[in-house]
Amino acid sequence: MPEANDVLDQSAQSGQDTAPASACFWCERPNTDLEDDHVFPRAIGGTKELSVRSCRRCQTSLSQAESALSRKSTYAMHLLEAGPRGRDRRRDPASGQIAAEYVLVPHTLGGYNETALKAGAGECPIALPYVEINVTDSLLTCRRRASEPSEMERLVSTIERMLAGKPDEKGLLCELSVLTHDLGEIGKDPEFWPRIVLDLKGHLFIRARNPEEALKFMSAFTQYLRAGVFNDYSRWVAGPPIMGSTPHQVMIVHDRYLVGRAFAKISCSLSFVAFGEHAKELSRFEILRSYALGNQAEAWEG
Amino acid sequence: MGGLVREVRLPGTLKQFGNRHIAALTIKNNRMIALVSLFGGLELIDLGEIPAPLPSSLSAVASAEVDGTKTNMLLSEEAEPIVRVLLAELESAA
Repeated sequence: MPEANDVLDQSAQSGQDTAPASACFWCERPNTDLEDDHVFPRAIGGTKELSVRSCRRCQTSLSQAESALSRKSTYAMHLLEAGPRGRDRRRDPASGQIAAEYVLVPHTLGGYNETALKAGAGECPIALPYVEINVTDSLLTCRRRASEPSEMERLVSTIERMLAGKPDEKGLLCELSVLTHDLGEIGKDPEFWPRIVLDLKGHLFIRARNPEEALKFMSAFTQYLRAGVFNDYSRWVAGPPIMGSTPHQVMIVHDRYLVGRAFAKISCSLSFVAFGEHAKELSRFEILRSYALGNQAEAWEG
Repeated sequence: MGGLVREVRLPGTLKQFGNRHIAALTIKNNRMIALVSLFGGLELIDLGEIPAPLPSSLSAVASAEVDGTKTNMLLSEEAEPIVRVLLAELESAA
Protein backbone atom coordinates (compact mmCIF):
# COMPACT_ATOMS: atom_id res chain seq x y z
CA MET A 1 0.00 0.00 0.00
CA PRO A 2 1.62 3.31 -1.02
CA GLU A 3 1.90 5.74 1.82
CA ALA A 4 1.02 9.38 1.83
CA ASN A 5 4.69 10.41 2.12
CA ASP A 6 5.51 8.70 -1.18
CA VAL A 7 2.91 10.79 -2.94
CA LEU A 8 4.10 13.96 -1.24
CA ASP A 9 7.63 13.27 -2.49
CA GLN A 10 6.35 12.74 -6.01
CA SER A 11 4.35 15.93 -5.81
CA ALA A 12 7.36 17.94 -4.69
CA GLN A 13 9.52 16.50 -7.47
CA SER A 14 6.98 17.18 -10.17
CA GLY A 15 6.94 20.87 -9.35
CA GLN A 16 3.20 21.14 -9.84
CA ASP A 17 1.24 24.31 -9.36
CA THR A 18 0.70 24.88 -5.69
CA ALA A 19 -1.08 27.60 -3.79
CA PRO A 20 1.46 30.04 -2.33
CA ALA A 21 2.50 29.19 1.22
CA SER A 22 1.03 32.51 2.35
CA ALA A 23 -2.47 31.63 1.07
CA CYS A 24 -5.27 30.32 3.23
CA PHE A 25 -5.89 26.62 2.57
CA TRP A 26 -9.64 27.15 2.73
CA CYS A 27 -10.32 30.26 0.65
CA GLU A 28 -6.93 30.29 -1.16
CA ARG A 29 -6.72 34.04 -0.76
CA PRO A 30 -3.23 35.41 -0.03
CA ASN A 31 -2.91 36.46 3.57
CA THR A 32 -0.01 37.38 5.78
CA ASP A 33 -1.85 36.60 9.01
CA LEU A 34 -2.40 32.85 8.81
CA GLU A 35 -2.89 30.49 11.73
CA ASP A 36 -2.59 26.75 12.21
CA ASP A 37 -5.95 25.12 11.66
CA HIS A 38 -5.86 21.70 13.33
CA VAL A 39 -7.07 18.72 11.29
CA PHE A 40 -8.69 17.32 14.43
CA PRO A 41 -10.39 20.24 16.22
CA ARG A 42 -8.44 21.36 19.27
CA ALA A 43 -11.55 21.23 21.44
CA ILE A 44 -11.67 17.44 21.08
CA GLY A 45 -7.94 16.87 21.51
CA GLY A 46 -6.35 17.74 18.16
CA THR A 47 -2.89 19.31 18.18
CA LYS A 48 -0.98 21.39 15.66
CA GLU A 49 1.22 18.54 14.39
CA LEU A 50 -1.44 17.96 11.75
CA SER A 51 -2.72 21.28 10.50
CA VAL A 52 -3.26 23.49 7.49
CA ARG A 53 -2.83 27.26 7.25
CA SER A 54 -5.98 29.27 7.57
CA CYS A 55 -7.01 32.92 7.63
CA ARG A 56 -9.06 34.28 10.53
CA ARG A 57 -12.17 34.70 8.46
CA CYS A 58 -12.22 31.02 7.50
CA GLN A 59 -11.27 30.03 11.06
CA THR A 60 -14.30 31.90 12.33
CA SER A 61 -16.56 30.08 9.91
CA LEU A 62 -15.02 26.68 10.63
CA SER A 63 -15.15 27.22 14.38
CA GLN A 64 -18.93 27.46 14.15
CA ALA A 65 -19.02 23.86 12.90
CA GLU A 66 -16.36 22.72 15.36
CA SER A 67 -18.27 24.28 18.21
CA ALA A 68 -21.43 22.44 17.15
CA LEU A 69 -19.45 19.20 17.15
CA SER A 70 -17.68 19.70 20.45
CA ARG A 71 -20.33 21.59 22.45
CA LYS A 72 -23.76 20.88 20.97
CA SER A 73 -23.80 17.31 19.70
CA THR A 74 -23.84 13.76 20.98
CA TYR A 75 -20.05 13.93 20.61
CA ALA A 76 -20.00 16.67 23.23
CA MET A 77 -21.18 14.28 25.92
CA HIS A 78 -18.08 12.14 25.39
CA LEU A 79 -15.88 15.12 26.16
CA LEU A 80 -17.08 14.92 29.74
CA GLU A 81 -15.41 11.56 30.23
CA ALA A 82 -12.46 11.65 27.89
CA GLY A 83 -11.86 15.08 26.41
CA PRO A 84 -8.92 17.39 26.97
CA ARG A 85 -9.09 19.72 29.95
CA GLY A 86 -9.37 23.41 29.22
CA ARG A 87 -5.94 24.85 28.47
CA ASP A 88 -6.43 28.20 30.12
CA ARG A 89 -8.00 28.05 33.56
CA ARG A 90 -8.27 31.85 33.68
CA ARG A 91 -10.77 31.97 30.84
CA ASP A 92 -14.45 32.62 31.23
CA PRO A 93 -15.93 29.45 32.76
CA ALA A 94 -18.70 29.57 30.15
CA SER A 95 -16.27 29.19 27.24
CA GLY A 96 -15.83 25.46 27.72
CA GLN A 97 -19.42 24.75 28.52
CA ILE A 98 -21.44 21.96 26.92
CA ALA A 99 -24.28 23.84 25.25
CA ALA A 100 -27.11 21.66 26.51
CA GLU A 101 -30.72 22.82 26.31
CA TYR A 102 -31.03 21.67 29.90
CA VAL A 103 -29.21 19.69 32.56
CA LEU A 104 -31.48 18.82 35.47
CA VAL A 105 -30.44 16.87 38.53
CA PRO A 106 -32.66 15.53 41.33
CA HIS A 107 -32.02 17.70 44.38
CA THR A 108 -31.43 16.11 47.76
CA LEU A 109 -34.07 18.41 49.28
CA GLY A 110 -36.63 17.82 46.52
CA GLY A 111 -37.10 19.20 43.05
CA TYR A 112 -34.56 19.43 40.27
CA ASN A 113 -31.35 21.40 40.26
CA GLU A 114 -30.32 23.54 37.29
CA THR A 115 -26.81 22.57 36.32
CA ALA A 116 -24.17 23.35 33.70
CA LEU A 117 -21.63 20.92 32.29
CA LYS A 118 -18.10 21.89 31.33
CA ALA A 119 -16.21 20.06 28.62
CA GLY A 120 -13.08 18.17 29.60
CA ALA A 121 -12.35 15.04 31.54
CA GLY A 122 -12.50 15.56 35.28
CA GLU A 123 -14.71 18.62 35.12
CA CYS A 124 -17.54 18.61 37.66
CA PRO A 125 -21.08 19.75 36.90
CA ILE A 126 -21.68 23.31 38.11
CA ALA A 127 -24.85 24.14 40.06
CA LEU A 128 -26.55 27.28 38.76
CA PRO A 129 -28.40 29.65 41.11
CA TYR A 130 -32.15 29.76 40.59
CA VAL A 131 -35.43 30.67 42.24
CA GLU A 132 -38.39 28.35 41.74
CA ILE A 133 -42.01 28.79 42.70
CA ASN A 134 -44.76 26.22 42.98
CA VAL A 135 -47.40 28.06 40.95
CA THR A 136 -50.02 25.32 41.50
CA ASP A 137 -49.87 25.86 45.26
CA SER A 138 -52.12 28.61 46.68
CA LEU A 139 -49.28 29.58 49.04
CA LEU A 140 -46.95 30.03 46.06
CA THR A 141 -44.16 28.24 47.90
CA CYS A 142 -40.78 29.54 46.81
CA ARG A 143 -37.34 27.90 46.97
CA ARG A 144 -33.98 29.56 46.42
CA ARG A 145 -31.24 27.24 45.32
CA ALA A 146 -27.55 27.99 44.89
CA SER A 147 -24.25 26.45 45.88
CA GLU A 148 -23.73 29.36 48.31
CA PRO A 149 -25.49 32.62 49.33
CA SER A 150 -23.16 34.77 47.19
CA GLU A 151 -24.41 32.95 44.10
CA MET A 152 -27.98 33.80 45.04
CA GLU A 153 -26.92 37.41 45.64
CA ARG A 154 -25.48 37.44 42.13
CA LEU A 155 -28.78 36.27 40.70
CA VAL A 156 -30.81 38.81 42.69
CA SER A 157 -28.49 41.72 41.88
CA THR A 158 -28.65 40.79 38.18
CA ILE A 159 -32.43 40.99 38.34
CA GLU A 160 -32.33 44.26 40.28
CA ARG A 161 -29.92 45.80 37.77
CA MET A 162 -32.20 44.75 34.97
CA LEU A 163 -35.27 46.25 36.63
CA ALA A 164 -33.45 49.49 37.46
CA GLY A 165 -33.02 50.30 33.78
CA LYS A 166 -35.11 52.79 31.83
CA PRO A 167 -37.95 51.44 29.70
CA ASP A 168 -37.40 51.83 25.95
CA GLU A 169 -39.77 53.68 23.62
CA LYS A 170 -42.13 50.69 23.65
CA GLY A 171 -42.15 50.66 27.45
CA LEU A 172 -40.07 47.50 27.50
CA LEU A 173 -37.85 47.27 30.57
CA CYS A 174 -36.04 44.07 29.78
CA GLU A 175 -36.26 40.85 27.81
CA LEU A 176 -35.88 37.38 29.24
CA SER A 177 -35.57 34.08 27.41
CA VAL A 178 -38.35 31.69 28.31
CA LEU A 179 -37.40 28.05 27.74
CA THR A 180 -40.25 25.60 27.47
CA HIS A 181 -38.50 22.42 26.34
CA ASP A 182 -40.27 19.12 26.72
CA LEU A 183 -38.70 17.87 29.96
CA GLY A 184 -39.83 14.27 29.50
CA GLU A 185 -40.50 12.46 32.78
CA ILE A 186 -39.33 15.47 34.79
CA GLY A 187 -42.05 17.56 33.17
CA LYS A 188 -44.68 15.20 34.57
CA ASP A 189 -43.29 15.40 38.09
CA PRO A 190 -45.12 17.91 40.35
CA GLU A 191 -41.77 18.41 42.09
CA PHE A 192 -40.56 20.34 39.06
CA TRP A 193 -41.41 24.01 39.59
CA PRO A 194 -40.94 26.84 37.09
CA ARG A 195 -37.88 28.95 37.82
CA ILE A 196 -35.63 31.85 36.92
CA VAL A 197 -31.99 30.87 36.44
CA LEU A 198 -28.66 32.70 36.11
CA ASP A 199 -26.44 30.87 33.62
CA LEU A 200 -22.65 30.76 33.52
CA LYS A 201 -22.54 33.68 31.10
CA GLY A 202 -24.45 35.84 33.57
CA HIS A 203 -27.70 35.75 31.56
CA LEU A 204 -31.08 35.15 33.15
CA PHE A 205 -33.66 32.79 31.70
CA ILE A 206 -36.98 31.37 32.78
CA ARG A 207 -37.70 27.67 32.51
CA ALA A 208 -41.27 26.43 32.55
CA ARG A 209 -43.32 23.66 31.02
CA ASN A 210 -45.27 26.08 28.82
CA PRO A 211 -45.81 29.84 28.30
CA GLU A 212 -48.83 29.92 30.63
CA GLU A 213 -46.79 28.47 33.47
CA ALA A 214 -44.03 30.97 32.74
CA LEU A 215 -46.52 33.86 33.03
CA LYS A 216 -47.84 32.53 36.35
CA PHE A 217 -44.28 32.23 37.55
CA MET A 218 -43.40 35.80 36.58
CA SER A 219 -46.48 37.13 38.35
CA ALA A 220 -45.61 35.29 41.56
CA PHE A 221 -41.92 36.07 41.26
CA THR A 222 -42.61 39.80 40.91
CA GLN A 223 -44.60 39.72 44.15
CA TYR A 224 -41.68 38.09 45.97
CA LEU A 225 -39.25 40.53 44.43
CA ARG A 226 -41.29 43.56 45.56
CA ALA A 227 -41.41 42.13 49.07
CA GLY A 228 -37.61 41.95 49.07
CA VAL A 229 -37.55 38.40 50.42
CA PHE A 230 -34.57 37.36 48.28
CA ASN A 231 -32.25 39.65 50.21
CA ASP A 232 -32.95 37.83 53.47
CA TYR A 233 -30.60 34.91 54.11
CA SER A 234 -31.62 34.28 57.71
CA ARG A 235 -33.30 31.02 56.74
CA TRP A 236 -30.58 29.83 54.41
CA VAL A 237 -30.16 26.05 54.74
CA ALA A 238 -27.05 24.19 53.66
CA GLY A 239 -28.28 20.90 52.25
CA PRO A 240 -26.26 17.74 51.74
CA PRO A 241 -24.06 17.86 48.65
CA ILE A 242 -25.16 16.17 45.44
CA MET A 243 -22.83 13.20 45.27
CA GLY A 244 -21.34 11.32 42.33
CA SER A 245 -23.48 8.85 40.39
CA THR A 246 -26.51 11.13 40.69
CA PRO A 247 -28.38 10.82 37.38
CA HIS A 248 -28.27 13.97 35.29
CA GLN A 249 -30.96 14.44 32.67
CA VAL A 250 -29.46 16.26 29.72
CA MET A 251 -30.98 17.47 26.47
CA ILE A 252 -28.73 18.38 23.58
CA VAL A 253 -29.92 19.43 20.15
CA HIS A 254 -27.72 17.78 17.55
CA ASP A 255 -27.44 19.79 14.31
CA ARG A 256 -26.41 17.30 11.62
CA TYR A 257 -25.68 20.00 9.08
CA LEU A 258 -23.19 21.77 11.33
CA VAL A 259 -21.68 18.55 12.65
CA GLY A 260 -21.35 17.29 9.07
CA ARG A 261 -19.39 20.43 8.21
CA ALA A 262 -16.88 19.58 10.94
CA PHE A 263 -16.35 16.13 9.41
CA ALA A 264 -15.99 17.67 5.95
CA LYS A 265 -13.33 19.94 7.42
CA ILE A 266 -11.41 17.05 8.97
CA SER A 267 -11.42 14.96 5.80
CA CYS A 268 -10.59 17.88 3.50
CA SER A 269 -7.65 19.11 5.54
CA LEU A 270 -6.36 15.58 6.15
CA SER A 271 -6.44 14.78 2.44
CA PHE A 272 -4.32 17.88 1.81
CA VAL A 273 -1.88 17.01 4.59
CA ALA A 274 -1.58 13.47 3.24
CA PHE A 275 -1.63 13.99 -0.53
CA GLY A 276 -0.68 17.63 -1.00
CA GLU A 277 -2.01 19.41 -4.07
CA HIS A 278 -3.23 16.09 -5.52
CA ALA A 279 -6.03 16.21 -2.96
CA LYS A 280 -7.55 19.17 -4.75
CA GLU A 281 -8.04 17.00 -7.84
CA LEU A 282 -10.42 14.67 -6.01
CA SER A 283 -13.75 15.16 -7.75
CA ARG A 284 -15.61 16.26 -4.61
CA PHE A 285 -12.82 18.12 -2.90
CA GLU A 286 -14.04 21.58 -3.87
CA ILE A 287 -17.62 20.96 -2.87
CA LEU A 288 -16.48 19.46 0.46
CA ARG A 289 -14.23 22.39 1.18
CA SER A 290 -17.03 24.78 0.39
CA TYR A 291 -19.41 22.75 2.55
CA ALA A 292 -16.92 22.85 5.45
CA LEU A 293 -16.99 26.64 5.20
CA GLY A 294 -20.79 26.66 5.32
CA ASN A 295 -21.40 27.49 1.66
CA GLN A 296 -23.15 24.29 0.56
CA ALA A 297 -26.23 23.89 2.74
CA GLU A 298 -27.80 21.43 0.30
CA ALA A 299 -24.75 19.21 -0.01
CA TRP A 300 -25.17 17.07 3.04
CA GLU A 301 -27.14 14.00 3.91
CA GLY A 302 -28.16 13.35 7.49
CA MET B 1 -22.64 7.10 -2.62
CA GLY B 2 -25.23 9.83 -2.21
CA GLY B 3 -24.48 12.67 0.24
CA LEU B 4 -21.15 14.01 1.28
CA VAL B 5 -21.22 13.05 4.96
CA ARG B 6 -23.07 10.10 6.42
CA GLU B 7 -23.32 8.93 10.01
CA VAL B 8 -22.44 5.24 10.17
CA ARG B 9 -22.06 4.63 13.92
CA LEU B 10 -22.99 6.75 16.91
CA PRO B 11 -20.17 7.92 19.20
CA GLY B 12 -19.31 5.39 21.86
CA THR B 13 -19.92 2.41 19.55
CA LEU B 14 -16.43 1.49 18.33
CA LYS B 15 -14.21 0.46 21.22
CA GLN B 16 -11.22 -0.78 19.19
CA PHE B 17 -9.31 2.47 19.15
CA GLY B 18 -9.30 3.18 22.86
CA ASN B 19 -8.94 6.86 23.62
CA ARG B 20 -7.97 7.83 20.08
CA HIS B 21 -9.72 9.69 17.31
CA ILE B 22 -9.04 8.17 13.90
CA ALA B 23 -9.36 9.69 10.44
CA ALA B 24 -8.61 7.35 7.54
CA LEU B 25 -8.48 8.08 3.85
CA THR B 26 -8.85 5.05 1.64
CA ILE B 27 -10.23 4.02 -1.71
CA LYS B 28 -13.46 2.13 -2.17
CA ASN B 29 -15.12 1.51 -5.53
CA ASN B 30 -12.62 3.82 -7.23
CA ARG B 31 -13.56 6.70 -4.95
CA MET B 32 -11.62 8.30 -2.16
CA ILE B 33 -13.50 8.08 1.10
CA ALA B 34 -12.71 9.32 4.58
CA LEU B 35 -13.73 7.22 7.56
CA VAL B 36 -13.61 9.39 10.66
CA SER B 37 -14.05 7.96 14.11
CA LEU B 38 -14.37 10.49 16.94
CA PHE B 39 -15.11 9.16 20.41
CA GLY B 40 -15.89 5.75 18.91
CA GLY B 41 -18.42 6.98 16.36
CA LEU B 42 -18.00 6.59 12.62
CA GLU B 43 -18.77 9.01 9.80
CA LEU B 44 -18.29 8.39 6.10
CA ILE B 45 -17.22 11.26 3.87
CA ASP B 46 -17.11 10.90 0.09
CA LEU B 47 -14.21 12.80 -1.47
CA GLY B 48 -15.08 11.56 -4.95
CA GLU B 49 -13.23 10.03 -7.85
CA ILE B 50 -9.47 9.89 -7.57
CA PRO B 51 -7.23 11.83 -9.95
CA ALA B 52 -4.93 9.85 -12.22
CA PRO B 53 -1.64 10.69 -10.45
CA LEU B 54 -2.76 9.02 -7.23
CA PRO B 55 -2.20 5.25 -6.91
CA SER B 56 -5.45 3.29 -6.83
CA SER B 57 -4.60 1.59 -3.52
CA LEU B 58 -3.55 4.71 -1.62
CA SER B 59 -4.52 5.25 1.98
CA ALA B 60 -3.51 7.42 4.92
CA VAL B 61 -4.51 7.32 8.55
CA ALA B 62 -4.21 10.02 11.21
CA SER B 63 -4.72 9.60 14.90
CA ALA B 64 -5.25 11.98 17.83
CA GLU B 65 -5.32 11.17 21.53
CA VAL B 66 -8.60 12.46 22.95
CA ASP B 67 -6.79 14.09 25.88
CA GLY B 68 -4.93 16.39 23.48
CA THR B 69 -1.47 14.93 24.05
CA LYS B 70 -0.59 13.59 20.59
CA THR B 71 -1.67 13.84 16.96
CA ASN B 72 0.16 12.09 14.14
CA MET B 73 0.00 10.24 10.85
CA LEU B 74 0.32 6.50 11.29
CA LEU B 75 2.81 4.35 9.45
CA SER B 76 1.55 1.81 6.97
CA GLU B 77 1.86 -1.23 9.28
CA GLU B 78 -0.34 0.40 11.91
CA ALA B 79 -2.66 2.06 9.43
CA GLU B 80 -3.63 -1.01 7.40
CA PRO B 81 -5.38 -2.95 10.18
CA ILE B 82 -7.24 0.21 11.21
CA VAL B 83 -8.50 0.74 7.68
CA ARG B 84 -9.65 -2.90 7.58
CA VAL B 85 -11.58 -2.46 10.84
CA LEU B 86 -13.24 0.73 9.60
CA LEU B 87 -14.18 -0.79 6.24
CA ALA B 88 -15.61 -3.87 7.98
CA GLU B 89 -17.65 -1.59 10.21
CA LEU B 90 -18.89 0.26 7.16
CA GLU B 91 -19.86 -3.00 5.46
CA SER B 92 -21.71 -4.30 8.50
CA ALA B 93 -23.67 -1.06 8.78
CA ALA B 94 -24.73 -1.12 5.12
